[in-house]
Amino acid sequence: MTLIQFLVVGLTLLLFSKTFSDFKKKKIAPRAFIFWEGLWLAMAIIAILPQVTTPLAKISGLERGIDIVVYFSIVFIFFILFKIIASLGEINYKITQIVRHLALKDSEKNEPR
Amino acid sequence: MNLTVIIPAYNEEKHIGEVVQGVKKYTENIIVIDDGSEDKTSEIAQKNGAKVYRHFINRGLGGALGTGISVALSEQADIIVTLDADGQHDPAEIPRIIKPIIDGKADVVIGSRFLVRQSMPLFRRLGNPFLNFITFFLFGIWSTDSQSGMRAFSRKAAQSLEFYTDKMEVSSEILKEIKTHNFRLKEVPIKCIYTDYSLSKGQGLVVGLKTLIKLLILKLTK
Repeated sequence: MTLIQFLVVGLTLLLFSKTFSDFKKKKIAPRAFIFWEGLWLAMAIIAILPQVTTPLAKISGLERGIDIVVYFSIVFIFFILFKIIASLGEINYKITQIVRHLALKDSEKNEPR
Repeated sequence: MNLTVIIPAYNEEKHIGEVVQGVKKYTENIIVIDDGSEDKTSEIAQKNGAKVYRHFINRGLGGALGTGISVALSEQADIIVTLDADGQHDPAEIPRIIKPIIDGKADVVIGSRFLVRQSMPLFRRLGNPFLNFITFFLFGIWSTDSQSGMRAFSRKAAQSLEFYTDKMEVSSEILKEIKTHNFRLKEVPIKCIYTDYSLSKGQGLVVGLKTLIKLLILKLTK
């Protein structure tokens, strides 16, 4: 096992157990649990046996199967980032609505006129 | 005609009193949105005769303007003017900025600092056109001063405005809304009183870049 394989497997093990404990504490839903554990498992398998990606290379026409995994990972990260940014915007908007509602309510009470 | 002036303010105890006094010559309907200030902005504004609404935490310019507009509409404003609390806008410009709306020639008026020759710090002279260009590029509407805080809205226009952004980027979002609803936009030249104080309150390089990023996100998500 090379150093990089060792590091990736170690990291996925950590993430795997963290996801598991989150699921046990009911912090994540069963569907999300299966998705993330599947992802960590796939990462570990690809790290140990990079040749499993060879069929992907044949289909895509790329030289190495691992390249397509990297490409898709980047697309996936951008997708997640976009989702996070959009939901942050949504949360910010809702906080403003709450603060506005309270400001209007307070003034009804105090009658600043 | 009910003219209502909205002044969003965050930690503006030094200038809010004189700004409210200046506006009083033109209307009694003055709404100050204290956007979570930690100083005496609310007390001073109220003492000088403004109606004060207070955000208990700071939400930024967009959040404060949205609150101001909903208050003004509920109080039957016919024309709504917004201006900055830092003293950079001269209330004497109010009659000129609302005239195109009274004359039925515009739905929204922007007070532009770039239509008259006046001294302006170099950074502003370069930074503002950059954000004008970005606004045009993203939303397809041109303004000579997209970041101006002095504006006037007809009641009809104000009723249709919807902001999603909370901070400085709301200025460009307003232009986006003008374009979406096909409102008639007029620009009126205004003079601007630049002081070290008002400069420290505006958009510097970092805030300008943050505005740029938020506008890109707005374009992608809304």
